Amino acid sequence: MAEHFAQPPNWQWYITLYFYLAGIAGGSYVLATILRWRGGAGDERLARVGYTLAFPLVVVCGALLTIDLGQPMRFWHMMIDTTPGAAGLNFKYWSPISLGTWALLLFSLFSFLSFVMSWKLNRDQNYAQPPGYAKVINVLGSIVGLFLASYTGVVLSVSNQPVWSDSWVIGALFVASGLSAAAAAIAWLGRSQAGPGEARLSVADGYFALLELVALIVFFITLSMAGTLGLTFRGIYWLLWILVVLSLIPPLRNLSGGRAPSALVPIVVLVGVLLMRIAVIFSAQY
Amino acid sequence: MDNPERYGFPNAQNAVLPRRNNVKGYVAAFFMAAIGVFAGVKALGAPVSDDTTGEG
Repeated sequence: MAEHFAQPPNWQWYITLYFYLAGIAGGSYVLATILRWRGGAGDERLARVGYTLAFPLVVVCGALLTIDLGQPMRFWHMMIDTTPGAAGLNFKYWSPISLGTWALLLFSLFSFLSFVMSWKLNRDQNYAQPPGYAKVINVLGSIVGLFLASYTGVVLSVSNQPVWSDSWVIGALFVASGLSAAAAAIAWLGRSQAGPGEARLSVADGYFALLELVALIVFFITLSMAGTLGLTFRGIYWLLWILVVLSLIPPLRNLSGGRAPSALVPIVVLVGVLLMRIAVIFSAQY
Repeated sequence: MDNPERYGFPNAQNAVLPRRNNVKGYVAAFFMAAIGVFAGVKALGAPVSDDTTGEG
């Protein structure tokens, strides 16, 4: 059993929103890449919704993370080591926070390039496939995006905080829920361009909700084995967890097929994923 | 005052960042991401009819 002898890091809304939006940004980029390069005719429009969403979100992510540092003007110390005699890049492969900082920077670059390309193609009213070199950018950006969506959970797992450190599955839980929220966000924002892609997005969301449910069950099992399951269900948090589980039902029902996508389901999914992040982050500290 | 070692705590010389779930956390996230991408491609990939009609 883990020994906990650390004070809570006092991570509140800035970090909660950062973890939430990073999941949507990374997930949106990945789904946009799948829609663009593996989707059907007409999916390019939805792909551009995903790329157009990812960059503004990652800008907000950077702002939230910087503000949470307490001394925002020193944010660059996360990347540059100014220690006399050891000055250079601040890259610590064993630290998820250090890796995440670099991932955020890299993803900002990829998402910016894809954002500009989408804007330019939209301006030209050109719904043809983008140039071939975009595929390299999109695939590399997707890999970094998946890391961005998942490392936020790994950061929690490697801490010494009860609940967080009692489970190794939080990274997996965050990447599954990030993809689910991203599918919901693209479906909702792209609903005016509804087509066959929207129906397939709702099916994809069903798969992601199923993966999130599996990760959630493993999360509860690992907490139970560590004896800290009660901690995450105390106070108001049991109600949050019930709402989180209930929010998985509408996207799961999409898997049964034959049902027209509802405009309400993406909202339910987005709220449910936010509540899950709140329950994980706050219940371990307060 | 007692030393930290007396209570099984690390001291200033041997304290390290917690890394209990570092590898397990990344491995679990990697597999979930791989399954997620597979599921995404399966759900969002072009229907067969798109492939056959697209090339004229």
